[in-house]
Amino acid sequence: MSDRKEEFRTGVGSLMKITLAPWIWAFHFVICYGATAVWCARLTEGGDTDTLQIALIAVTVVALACIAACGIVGKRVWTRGGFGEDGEIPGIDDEESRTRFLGHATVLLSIVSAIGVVFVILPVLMIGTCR
Amino acid sequence: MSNDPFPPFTGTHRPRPEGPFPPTEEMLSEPVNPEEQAAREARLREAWKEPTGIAYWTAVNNDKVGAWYSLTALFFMLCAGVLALLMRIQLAVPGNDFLDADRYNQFFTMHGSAMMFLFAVPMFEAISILVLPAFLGARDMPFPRLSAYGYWCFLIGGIFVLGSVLFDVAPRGGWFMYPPLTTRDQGIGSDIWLLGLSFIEVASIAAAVELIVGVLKCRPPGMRVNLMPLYAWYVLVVGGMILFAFPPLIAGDFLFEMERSFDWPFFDPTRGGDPMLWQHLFWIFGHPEVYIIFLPSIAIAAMVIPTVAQRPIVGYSWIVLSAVGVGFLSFGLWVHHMFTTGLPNISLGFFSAASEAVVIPTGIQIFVFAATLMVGKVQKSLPMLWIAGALAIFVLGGLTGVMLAIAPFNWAVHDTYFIVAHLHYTLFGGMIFPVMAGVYYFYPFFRKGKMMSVTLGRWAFWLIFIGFNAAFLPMHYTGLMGMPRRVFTYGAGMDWGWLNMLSTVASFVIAAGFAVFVWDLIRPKRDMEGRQRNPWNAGTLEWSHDVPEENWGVRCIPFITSRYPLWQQPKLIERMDSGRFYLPDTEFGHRETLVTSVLDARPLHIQRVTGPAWITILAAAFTGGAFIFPTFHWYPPAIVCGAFAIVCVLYWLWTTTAQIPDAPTGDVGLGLRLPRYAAGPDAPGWWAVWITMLGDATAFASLVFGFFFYWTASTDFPPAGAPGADGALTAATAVLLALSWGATRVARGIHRHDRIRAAQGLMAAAVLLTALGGTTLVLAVIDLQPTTHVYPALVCALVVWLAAHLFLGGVGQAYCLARSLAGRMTPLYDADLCNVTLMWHFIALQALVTCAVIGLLPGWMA
Repeated sequence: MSDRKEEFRTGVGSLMKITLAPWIWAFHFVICYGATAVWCARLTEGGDTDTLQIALIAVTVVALACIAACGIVGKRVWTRGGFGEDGEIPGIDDEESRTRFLGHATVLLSIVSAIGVVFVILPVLMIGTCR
Repeated sequence: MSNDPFPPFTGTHRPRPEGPFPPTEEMLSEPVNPEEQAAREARLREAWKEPTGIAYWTAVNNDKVGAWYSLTALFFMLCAGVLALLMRIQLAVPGNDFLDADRYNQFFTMHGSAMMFLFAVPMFEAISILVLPAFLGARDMPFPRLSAYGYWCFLIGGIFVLGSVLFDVAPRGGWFMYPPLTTRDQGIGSDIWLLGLSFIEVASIAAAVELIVGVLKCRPPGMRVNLMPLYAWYVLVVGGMILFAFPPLIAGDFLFEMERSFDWPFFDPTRGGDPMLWQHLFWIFGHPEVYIIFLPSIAIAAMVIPTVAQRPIVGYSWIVLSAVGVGFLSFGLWVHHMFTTGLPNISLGFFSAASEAVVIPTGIQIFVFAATLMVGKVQKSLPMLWIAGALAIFVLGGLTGVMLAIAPFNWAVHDTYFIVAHLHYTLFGGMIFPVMAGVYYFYPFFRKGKMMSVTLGRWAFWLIFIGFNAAFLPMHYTGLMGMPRRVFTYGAGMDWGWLNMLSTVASFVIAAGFAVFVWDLIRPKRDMEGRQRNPWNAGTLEWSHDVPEENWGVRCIPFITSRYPLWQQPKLIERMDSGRFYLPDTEFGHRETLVTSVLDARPLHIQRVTGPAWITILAAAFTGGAFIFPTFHWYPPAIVCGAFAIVCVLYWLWTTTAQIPDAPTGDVGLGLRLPRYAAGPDAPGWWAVWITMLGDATAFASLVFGFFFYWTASTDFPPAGAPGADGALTAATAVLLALSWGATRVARGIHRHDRIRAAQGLMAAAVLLTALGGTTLVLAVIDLQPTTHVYPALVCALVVWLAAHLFLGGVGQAYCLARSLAGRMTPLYDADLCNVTLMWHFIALQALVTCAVIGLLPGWMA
């Protein structure tokens, strides 16, 4: 039974890990959108966004840090075993190559997610009002 | 079961895969005795025999269902195209009276709805059902009857929705059905749209389940995730997107239909409702939907381009990045359809930013394609012609998309023909052209060696390509000159006349191109019998197909060690043909395929797949009745149909799913013995439940989102002093349903440890607790008057939603009890109980959230 559980865990778990950075983007997006909606509809008088700005910048810093962590872990997995240093062409049908592939995908998705997070915070920095 | 081979701890000592894996080169090159080979082929042929005569329609094989599915979608597309031509005639000259305003409204609504719901999404499902098993070297989809059920639902729903146009009762509020226009609309048009399309959405979710499980669990041994055909990656991403995109629309449809049928005021501002909630729910679906259409079509390009370039794709991981990245980012775009609704500018900014960000992964895949073509030796072919057209048109549509993502520009051209031009460029470039490329490319696969005509193909391409650009390029200008979309006519003084005439003439050129294409598709090709098996010299597994046709899907399931096995594994075809790989035989005459592990595709067990049946058609017909009768407010026949649909599905499950196998393990060849049964996370059925319930939870989350939406959008939600759900009864519901969940969970555990009687007692108790919990739930809100205000209406809607789930959950618990009493479920063979327990995890979560939202939240919000 226990190695069945392991199969379940290593299977989808590892596959889902490559989507960790996009999920962080998604949470960041929802927090920005939700916080702005609640702030502008319920919490502010006169439409100023100072407190909101500070809070969302903090959220963005945390999100970017988490995405960077994903990217660094992904980079380690991708380049594990010295790939890319000795110029040797790696195999494709073994467990290491599969792991490296997942690492590479993680790195690429982290980059796109980081760009996405930066894009989303720009309106908060540029538009200083609810209206 | 007295002959159970693993007493005394039956449930915990399960058979495991035994034997060597991966196979060695010597094992693979061992010859098979020709007599034995012929006997095996005869047995397989018998098991996969196609029903004949009228029973032909009971077939569930992916190639049959996929072919019907795609031809039906093509037919609906042609119908919607005819509506477009009729509209273009009306718009050809100013002040035309070819169509009156009402009919014009019906036509543009049906054109959009049919193209989206009856063509684009079903076409993706159809093509996937048709080709995915072949890409994966699988015998069939994991749940063939589910595909068939989905198809029949689609056919019935499609005819119902599209047929309404013939009776002058078609929906007429635009394909996004904005309230209050549509909630106050007289007649049944809006109901036809809501119920008919909800019904088809169910088929889409069924397809998503099928495709995700197919990609994750039914790959050939050795095909690790980094070796999957790119199409499989796209299908996986799109399946996931469907699970998060379609349910909000189903939740929206549910609220909408409650308002239409029972006057619950969800979108009526005079009673606290808000039409904006519909817009949010619709576009949370509607924008990802565009990518749900686009990704699988571009996936076809990802299959065609390596073949055309005669080399592997450049940057496999980059395509995966692109598919996954687009899948996520596309959910952050929905408000760009709502830029003019008065949301705070800062909120618009978020969606503008995400709309620009999605360009990055979308662009990457186009560069990957370009790179592959540049470094390969490109062979001119029809599929490549269509792909080239697709890229040209899609890039233009993408560029106007970048413009439209900028809010101020969007305000200027909102609801003008600029939008019409933009969306047709994205959809023709992103969907029609790649799919056409796919038809030309895969035709020799579908028709076993026959090819479509190169001359006719070129004619069709240039007619459609030139016609398309001549029709839609001017529309950008028409829109910038101020012509609003959805007007049935315009005055001569507007100077739009010549532009519209140009678009009209060109639209008939497009139609001529489609006529050539359809003729080429259906014309008899008898002289082409027995042509090449792999005419494009492609590298992926589908081209190992049998010519002439065999019904078994693949002769045997190959061992894969490369991305392009036909190029990179030289002896593969020969070995497949002689049945030297896995599952070359069927021991007991059943239809079977292999289930493998998620990451590395290690063989796990033999999955028995279902064969032809009338019950799926019957189930679809009754499901159709349950959705169609309410359109006419005929509730008693709808309820009867719903009940019969449930009976049909139960019969189908009882007789064919999770059957106790003839032997606990089976020989699959190459020295490997695999279990014939799986329960829990190993079993495809468990995954299907997981995926379905995830989609269901998304719909539920959309309803809960409604609660928060009204709270932020309105100053008096919940209204001060308004009566809510009864606190004590709500608490009792929570306790009873938690107990019911607990009883089910414990029953599963002790059942595996052979305490069958105690488990049966717990299952019976669980059914009872569910019934009691359902009763207290209804009593908790019985005094509310949902027509008076949106707050009691939303509370009641959540209760209706949960009550329906409790009914199904109770049926599931009773089903397990019955299976156990009938000896069809034993401690070793307990997939039913595992699946129902999994379903109950989700139901219990929804129950507790519902009780908290209706019982506790109003106090906090006030």
